Amino acid sequence: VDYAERLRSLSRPDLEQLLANRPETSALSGRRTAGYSDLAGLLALPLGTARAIASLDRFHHQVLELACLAGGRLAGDFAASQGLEPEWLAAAAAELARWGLGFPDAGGLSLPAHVVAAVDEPGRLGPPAASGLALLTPNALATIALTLGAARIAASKSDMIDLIAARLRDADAVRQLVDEAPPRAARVLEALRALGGTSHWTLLAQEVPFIHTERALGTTVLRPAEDGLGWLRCRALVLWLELERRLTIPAEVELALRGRLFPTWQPEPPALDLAPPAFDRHPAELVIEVTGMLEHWREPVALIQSGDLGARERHRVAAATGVPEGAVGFLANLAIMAGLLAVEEPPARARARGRSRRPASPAPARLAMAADAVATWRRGGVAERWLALVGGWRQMVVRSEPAMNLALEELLALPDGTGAGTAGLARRLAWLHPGAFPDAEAAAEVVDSTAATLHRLGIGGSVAGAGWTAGVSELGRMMLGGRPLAELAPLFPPTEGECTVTADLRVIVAGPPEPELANALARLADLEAAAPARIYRLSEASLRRALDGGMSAAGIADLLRSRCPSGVPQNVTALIEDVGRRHGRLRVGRATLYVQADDPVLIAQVAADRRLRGLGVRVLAPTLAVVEGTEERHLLEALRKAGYMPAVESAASSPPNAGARRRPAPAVAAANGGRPAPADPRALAERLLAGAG
Amino acid sequence: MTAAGDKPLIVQSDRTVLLEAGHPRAEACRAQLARFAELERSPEHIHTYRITPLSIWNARAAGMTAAEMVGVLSEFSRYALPAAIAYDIADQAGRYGRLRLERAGDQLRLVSEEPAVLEEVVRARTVAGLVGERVSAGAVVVPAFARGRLKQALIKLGWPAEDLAGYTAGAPLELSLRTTIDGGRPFGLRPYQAEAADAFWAGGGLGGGSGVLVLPCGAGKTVIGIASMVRAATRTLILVTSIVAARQWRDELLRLTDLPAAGVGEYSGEEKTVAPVTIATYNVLTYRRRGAGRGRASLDEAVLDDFPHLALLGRQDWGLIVYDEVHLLPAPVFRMTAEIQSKRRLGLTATLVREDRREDDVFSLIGPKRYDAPWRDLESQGWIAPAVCTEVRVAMPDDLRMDYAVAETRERYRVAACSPAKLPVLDALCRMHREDRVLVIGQYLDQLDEIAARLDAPLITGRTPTSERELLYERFRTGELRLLVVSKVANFSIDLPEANVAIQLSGTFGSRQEEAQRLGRVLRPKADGGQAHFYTIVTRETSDQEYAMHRQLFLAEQGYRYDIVDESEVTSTLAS
Repeated sequence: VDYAERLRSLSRPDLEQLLANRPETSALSGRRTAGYSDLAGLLALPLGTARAIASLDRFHHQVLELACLAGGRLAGDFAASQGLEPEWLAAAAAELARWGLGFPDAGGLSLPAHVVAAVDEPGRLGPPAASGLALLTPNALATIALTLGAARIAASKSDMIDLIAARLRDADAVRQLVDEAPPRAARVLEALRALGGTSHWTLLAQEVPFIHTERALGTTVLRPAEDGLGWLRCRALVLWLELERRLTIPAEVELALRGRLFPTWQPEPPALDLAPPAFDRHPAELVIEVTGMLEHWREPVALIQSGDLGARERHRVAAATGVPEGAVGFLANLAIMAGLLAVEEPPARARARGRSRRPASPAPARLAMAADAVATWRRGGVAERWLALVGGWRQMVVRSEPAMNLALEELLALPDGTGAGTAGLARRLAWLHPGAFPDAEAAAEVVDSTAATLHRLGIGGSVAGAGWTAGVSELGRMMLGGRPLAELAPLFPPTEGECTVTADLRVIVAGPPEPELANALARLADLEAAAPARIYRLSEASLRRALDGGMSAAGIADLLRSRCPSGVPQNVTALIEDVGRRHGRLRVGRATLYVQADDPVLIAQVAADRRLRGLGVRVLAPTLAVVEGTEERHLLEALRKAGYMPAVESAASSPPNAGARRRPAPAVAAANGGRPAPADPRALAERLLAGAG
Repeated sequence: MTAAGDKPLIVQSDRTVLLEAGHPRAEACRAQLARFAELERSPEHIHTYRITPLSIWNARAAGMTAAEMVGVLSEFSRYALPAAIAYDIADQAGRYGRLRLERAGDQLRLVSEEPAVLEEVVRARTVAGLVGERVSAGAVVVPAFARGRLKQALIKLGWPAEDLAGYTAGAPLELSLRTTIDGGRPFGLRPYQAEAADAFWAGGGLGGGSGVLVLPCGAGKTVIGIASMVRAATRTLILVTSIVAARQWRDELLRLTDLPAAGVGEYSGEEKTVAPVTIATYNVLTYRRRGAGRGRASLDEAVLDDFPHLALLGRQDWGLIVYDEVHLLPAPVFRMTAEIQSKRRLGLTATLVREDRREDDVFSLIGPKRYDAPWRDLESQGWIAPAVCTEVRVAMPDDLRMDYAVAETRERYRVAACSPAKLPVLDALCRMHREDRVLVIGQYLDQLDEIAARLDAPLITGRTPTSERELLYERFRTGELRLLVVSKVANFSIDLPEANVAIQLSGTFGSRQEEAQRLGRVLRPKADGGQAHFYTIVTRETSDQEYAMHRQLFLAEQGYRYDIVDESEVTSTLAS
């Protein structure tokens, strides 16, 4: 029956559903006349057909595949032999009609020819025998036909192929043949099935190395063989698909071995186990983490060759900011998408040096903070900053993560306030979208990473004892729906702006903190615990770090006082003051050259000398001055010009010592073999004599 | 994430629980929470509790269910509970009581309704040697000697057994509490003391009779121990930490009960009397005979040979054994306690935390926690009062700074700790507390000698004979002496509740727990409700100050107020 006629037989509601299911039909509304033949013409276009097939759930997709395997006409009894109940078949046929992909036909299902053509390898059985047989010589085909017990040899090559294919369709015969396979042949067949039915020669040879010896036997010709690959080839149980490259088990053989195309049929979507998710991560945590990372990356950081952050850098960031190592990359990507970090391409490659044969490796790309963008970002409210981070992520998912998108859609379809167990969610996704997820395992991977990502963003449910309950908070729903900041901000859960300082040197923020508070505390105390209350530990070391970072003791005390309504315990204030007092008593600076003299007057004279003013001599101690920004030889020259007589101290000689005066060694010392001479031999002799007496 | 600001609890994902102490509902919450979580830190404002398998099992032993525990958390928690917590509590709680020790005739059996659980533990290497033949799918025979060791092994496997095998009654002993003491003053148990003793005794049933009572210092642990003895009415062995403690127990027993003096014996390094109520020190029990115990046939023999006085545990038909300061119970006593599981056992302590992490042995051998006194309540009712700690910092004299800078690490501390700059501050403090009873504590004998001479006060060191010590303590108690200088060593065995001021000049504490012990004694709340003070004088910017930092943290965690002041503040206060 004509496709258009089939369409004409649809009821009104079915037709309406069809038009809704196949968006390409909207083109009809623009046409002056719209008849069923126009509709049929549109629906038969390959792109739309492929899209419609890809939109089918696993059950209807499987029914479609089974019908294709049956040549486009799926009869009730064949369907039943494949385990498909008649009422399921009837329902599936009606549904496929609403997609324009198939029609109920005398208790069975009929597919239009263009649909059959659009389905490739139904049931992933592999290519049909014909495609492999076509590569063989007529002689080889004759060998196969005779080995398979054909009474005669057909006249033409194509007849011979048909003949062999017909034999292979006899499932019982094929199974019997396989049962009788000699050991090596059986192992090859098993290995090839384990590799998915089609495999490159070398991959298969890794599993069953003995087939190497058979490679010389040729590929187009065929000789009778007692065992091994040759035995299988003589019976068309295994065929070359591309000569010398890929081997395959033909679809007919695979079907015979499987028995049924699909072991099970699941006409209904798998149910979800619904439960309220625990939203135990605050969205502000994301802002805190990213802010911490940006602080850490004030100086650009080199990326490794692959363009990623190196493991060591991840480790460093994790240690410095408390972000789990596994999340560093993700957070960095968020910051990049939000324009807060930028990947700087390496400068033009430095020319390889002289005789070196190896090309110089290119300078690594660097990750650098976009200072202006960060400054703007930091001025925003916490909800605004959060949205800037997750907004980029949302667009990225919509654009280039179709699988995660499907998982999100499914999560958003859950009733408000509920979540679903991830295992059930994965099974359901795999059923709904067989095209995107080959099996539940593949779906589980996507679901888990989606749930983990949502949790990290502060809008997803958390892991429980038995597994994740994935869910999206209201804020998350609105954000994923693309709502603007004004609508999101009221939903953003409140943050804690105050802390409690306890006498055991802890600073406790009773809940998710304002990012400003969190980042300030991170500078002066060590984070001990983070969820949901944040506990920081103050110590001499942490305070010293804050002072090193430019904070003052008074600033630290003020910060704590202003944020801690219960007051800062006296001993904590005392500690801060104490560390502040001791900080910086030993100072370190950069000096390129020093001028030292035993006589302070000489140093004072050099420092005051107008002729040496340009050198910038700084007196550090009475006998020591430093000079910066010049070279040794210029300094010597200048000193000499001004009439001084400087000498150069070698690297081995002692470092400048501002306290002690160096005294020239007494002349006697050398004569004495290095032993110091007593200051006054006569007095000593007298004492010795007195003692002895 | 939603927050309810009107709730006092924050449940952390690392199994700690923060309680906002000043919250109006904090007390209601604490009462529930303390049943299944251990107090870890109690500085002002925010207290930290920790939920551990042991704390959950303690709660289960007291009849609390997992659902009730999770219920308490949900009721008081400010935020949604971390998802894994409820699961964990249910899992751990579900393990308690699935195995039980029961008596069948004269046989002891380990039973379970779930043969799989029984099978799992019986197959464990540590348990296999402690059980006998299989009686049925859900029961195995347990030899009497293995009762304690089996419980120890099971708890280490994560399957704490409920011991319902009962106790031997012990030889009976007539004793009752007096109604008037000290020549006519009426005496009665404080309500919480009666509650604690009842919680332990549990009507004499299988559900009680062994366990630990947790009470803060000063709450009257001795009184509660005695009240429990009255309920048990049987011969009792009391194990204590020191001779001084032993004598205090004896005095209290004679003061509060109608026991005759001959009915109470002391078994210590100095005296070895065994009476119907005998008080022994851990020290004498763990006295080890040198070189003994080698080449013995069995471990038990070897243990007995090694520790000759441990036999005391078996010498009399004790019906009750009281372990004072159970957190200090030494390992050999654990071993012997494992052998006497058919006797009732009472542990008394201020903390379940053990320095050696053997909390699970206390649980399996002494028993689960039966009572945890609400110390906030006791405090608000005026039964106990916390002390104030003050660290006075003095500068290092200029002439000693170079000595300190070039000294060896060990010597450095001595230089700093013995700085003469501390002396004027000490003088000032002593004058400030003229009316109080003051202990001056130090580590270095020459420093102490100097101070004793300077303050014109008696000095007690490890070399002072016990008789002389007791005499001095007695004079201090009566108020005749108001100032005592004691060395760190002597300080170990001091129990002077009358002291209300302690000034520490030098000396570091060993373990945290030793510290708790000493401070607990010195800082004990006073009968007259007066404020107790603990001062440390510390040389600024030296290792002396570093050690003081540890002490500061510890004290702050324990909830003491800790102030740091400059020497000038002390001396100027005095001047004004």
